[in-house]
Amino acid sequence: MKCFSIKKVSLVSKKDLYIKLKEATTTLGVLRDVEISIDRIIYEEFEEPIGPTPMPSIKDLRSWDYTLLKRYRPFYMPFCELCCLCTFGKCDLSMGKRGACGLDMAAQQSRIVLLACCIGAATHTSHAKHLVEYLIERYGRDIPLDLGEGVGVEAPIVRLVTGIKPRTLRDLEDVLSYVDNQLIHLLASTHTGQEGDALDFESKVLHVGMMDHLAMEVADIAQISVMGFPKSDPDAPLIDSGFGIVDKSKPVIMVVGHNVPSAAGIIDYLIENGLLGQVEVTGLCCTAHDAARYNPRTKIIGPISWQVRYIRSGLPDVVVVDEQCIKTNLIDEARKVDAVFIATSEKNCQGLRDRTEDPVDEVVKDLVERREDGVLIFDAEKVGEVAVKAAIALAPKRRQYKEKPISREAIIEYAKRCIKCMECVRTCPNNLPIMDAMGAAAKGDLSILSGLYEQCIGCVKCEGVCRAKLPIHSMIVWADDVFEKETFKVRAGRGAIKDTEIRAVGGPIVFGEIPGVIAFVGCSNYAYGGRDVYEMSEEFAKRRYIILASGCAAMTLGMYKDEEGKTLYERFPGSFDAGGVVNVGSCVSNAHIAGAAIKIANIFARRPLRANYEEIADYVLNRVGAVGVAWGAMSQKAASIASGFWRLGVPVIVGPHGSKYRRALLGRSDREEDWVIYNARTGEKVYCEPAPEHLFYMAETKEEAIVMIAKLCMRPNDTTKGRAIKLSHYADLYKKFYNALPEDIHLFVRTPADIPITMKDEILALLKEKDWKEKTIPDPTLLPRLIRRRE
Amino acid sequence: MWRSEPWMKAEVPGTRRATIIEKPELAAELLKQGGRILVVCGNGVSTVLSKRSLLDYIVDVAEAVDAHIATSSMAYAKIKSRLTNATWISPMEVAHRVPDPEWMGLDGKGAYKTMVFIGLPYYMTWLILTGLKNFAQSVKTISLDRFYQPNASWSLRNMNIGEWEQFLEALVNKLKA
Repeated sequence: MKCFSIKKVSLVSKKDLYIKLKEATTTLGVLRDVEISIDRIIYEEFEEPIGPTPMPSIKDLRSWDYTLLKRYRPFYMPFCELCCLCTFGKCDLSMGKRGACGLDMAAQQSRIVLLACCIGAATHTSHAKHLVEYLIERYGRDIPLDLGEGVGVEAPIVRLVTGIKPRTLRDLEDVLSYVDNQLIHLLASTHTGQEGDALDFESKVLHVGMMDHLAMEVADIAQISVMGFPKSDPDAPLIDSGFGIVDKSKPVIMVVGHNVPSAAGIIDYLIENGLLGQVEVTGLCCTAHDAARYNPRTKIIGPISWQVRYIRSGLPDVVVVDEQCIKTNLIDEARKVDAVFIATSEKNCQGLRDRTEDPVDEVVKDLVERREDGVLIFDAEKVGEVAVKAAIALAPKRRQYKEKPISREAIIEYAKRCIKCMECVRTCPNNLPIMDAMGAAAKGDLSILSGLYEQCIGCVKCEGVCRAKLPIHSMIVWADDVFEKETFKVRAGRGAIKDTEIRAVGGPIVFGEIPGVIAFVGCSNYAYGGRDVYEMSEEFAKRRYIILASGCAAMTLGMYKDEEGKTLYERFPGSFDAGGVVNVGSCVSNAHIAGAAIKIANIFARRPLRANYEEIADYVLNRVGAVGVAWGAMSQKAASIASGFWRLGVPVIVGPHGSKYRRALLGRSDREEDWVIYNARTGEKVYCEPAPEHLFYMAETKEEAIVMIAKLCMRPNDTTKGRAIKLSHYADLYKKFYNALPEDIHLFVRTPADIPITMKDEILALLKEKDWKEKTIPDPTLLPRLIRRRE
Repeated sequence: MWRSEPWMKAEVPGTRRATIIEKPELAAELLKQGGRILVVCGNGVSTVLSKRSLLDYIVDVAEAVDAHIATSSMAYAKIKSRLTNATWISPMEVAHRVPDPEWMGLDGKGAYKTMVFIGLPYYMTWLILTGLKNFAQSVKTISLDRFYQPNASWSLRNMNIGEWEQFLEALVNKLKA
């Protein structure tokens, strides 16, 4: 006998106990050469019994995935019809052909989706690992997790998936080891000659999404617990935001990316040296959110799409990049305006020399005297000192860059050089009419050009293809000076939702009296500008849905004002309650959105949480009227975040560019057999209703999305009162945009008591026309094991 | 050459590309022989051209060939006021149903033989068409947008707005004749 493996406690690779016995006499007999290795000893303090699926492997939740995928079937839109992943190819998979490996088009598309989601989840996991390692190095493994007063269930996703109740940073390492393990298997399944079935690829997509949510939760609860972020605070501070809040007279540091330690290093250095307030710390993307959570004097410039325009404004003296979603040629942009560049992540070295071990003053001198365009520093504290010293030394020398970089006259002169080749228009992701704008600008009318500003996503591809070498992006941004004057308020990310808040609103959400929880998440790849996100969230906040936000979408929400000059964060409270507008924080804070849904099942409905994924997901799908909206979703991370929500039973809507994820998960309201569920009270299989109708939906316009959001908030468990409220919003919104009652409203009326009183006559008339029949409101479940009584 | 390239430069298609409809006569013939036709409209159909709105042309086409219109665009109310055969449904959802051989169409009268696309963002149409091309091969697809859509069975070439309006006007006249 070589080795025992004791599965239930074998959670991680670190060896806590290793016993080697040459010979042991036992009641069973004599054992020779016995080796016992116990990976980790868990001190069992979790009073809740372990559920059916602790640390599930790929196969363990497959039946749940198939239950979902049978109802929400994939519609594949091959973005590429060829496969070039191995040397058999290229293989043409179109029109029913198979590749040399045997894969068909559907499987190839789902394989690419899985690859994208593996990239996304690996990125969050890597981020979480770096954060946990950084915090352990600074504060030790045994530092307790503390999400704030009123948060008893500190890590709902970790508890639900792994069965671990994490108490310290050390416990989070265990969780990440499990995620690592699963990610390796998931990625391996995309190799040539492995998985061959589209639905099994899809099941793995859902599994990787769940891993992604674990990693995000680990990352955010670690940084909240240790770094002094707001702890579930509905009154987290309002952060100055926008381009206009930067004090040009001071040295300016720009931080961009997602991983906060280097930004925290800058803030620490400023505080320790009495310089806070004398140097501007400004951020973009999620690092801005987290730096503002770390210190509210950080200024949030804007979302990822503003990276280039901000550097071109000349304001930042120093550009500090960490990881994820950073435009990879920012160093070139920084060079053009004599700003210095500091890269800080092993994942993003930019070809720079590693100066981590060099004396600070030497590095600063090299940067300020332009001996090097940029440096690579892996030590967050040293990044802080170098960035601040370099910014202070550089700012007086860079004053000429801090004025408007391109004048009105220069824009007109440039426009006259346009040769009208249309390359810019045909390259612009939003197909903006740049050529027409250039024509008008050449005649002195800059209005069309400045009108493009709102819809420009800052990709700068137009400049790369311009045959006349025009600085098109800069011309659009500075055709007007509105941009430079913009100031907003964004509420700092509050982190988790309190258990006490869940107790207060769990009932109204599950019964439908709070008509829905809508999360605006993700990137800023908007097809028609960010105003869509603002208008959608305002619409539903006014209707007293609960609005959650994270990442770039959370910034976009704060970038528009009402007639009184107030942003949504100033108009609506930050509490998880009807009519609240809640910024949970950065990308990794999305975990708290999933966590809130899970907590409703656990805290309000008392469903067992520990390692009980299927039951909780079944509860969320059938009872929690939550919808995610990633209107500008761009990244692979956005894909993996969405897939984690799908497995949990939360539908996701994306904007038009989201169609490039090449696969929708759509229900068929016309197929009654797809909507048969168990009535847990009786065990009967009954036709329920198409709710929620879709799991992954792409909308063309914000109006379509608004109507679909209201519809997807309906759940089979809604009480008649709750359903009447939800139907009144659905019908009212549909009427507002399409001037009629929704043609499918009869599908969602179960009994006459569901009908909103103010629309009774017209809905009754429609029901009559559709030959509607009353239905029983079931106690809905898709899991036979949850049936309480069988008949 | 550029007139028969995908309008968006990077949207390089697969090995089978749409046949270009050079003349309105051919479009009219394809539609007349198209069997049961579903017209899928995006929000772009609200565009006003120099003589009429795009919507007017499309409703005329649909009426002439007894087609059903599917749209989730803001033009739905206007379309519905002129045409009974119109359903509010997202283009993606319709495309999802089409490959199902048992689906009887939005009016329950049978499967569609031809689908016409107009007014969606270029890349959305590009993607929906590639879905149909690969998973609903019995359905012929026609793009009436003014940009070449390589994943359709038949597509107009890239053209300017004036040329497009002339084309649509001629198409409507041919269908009504």
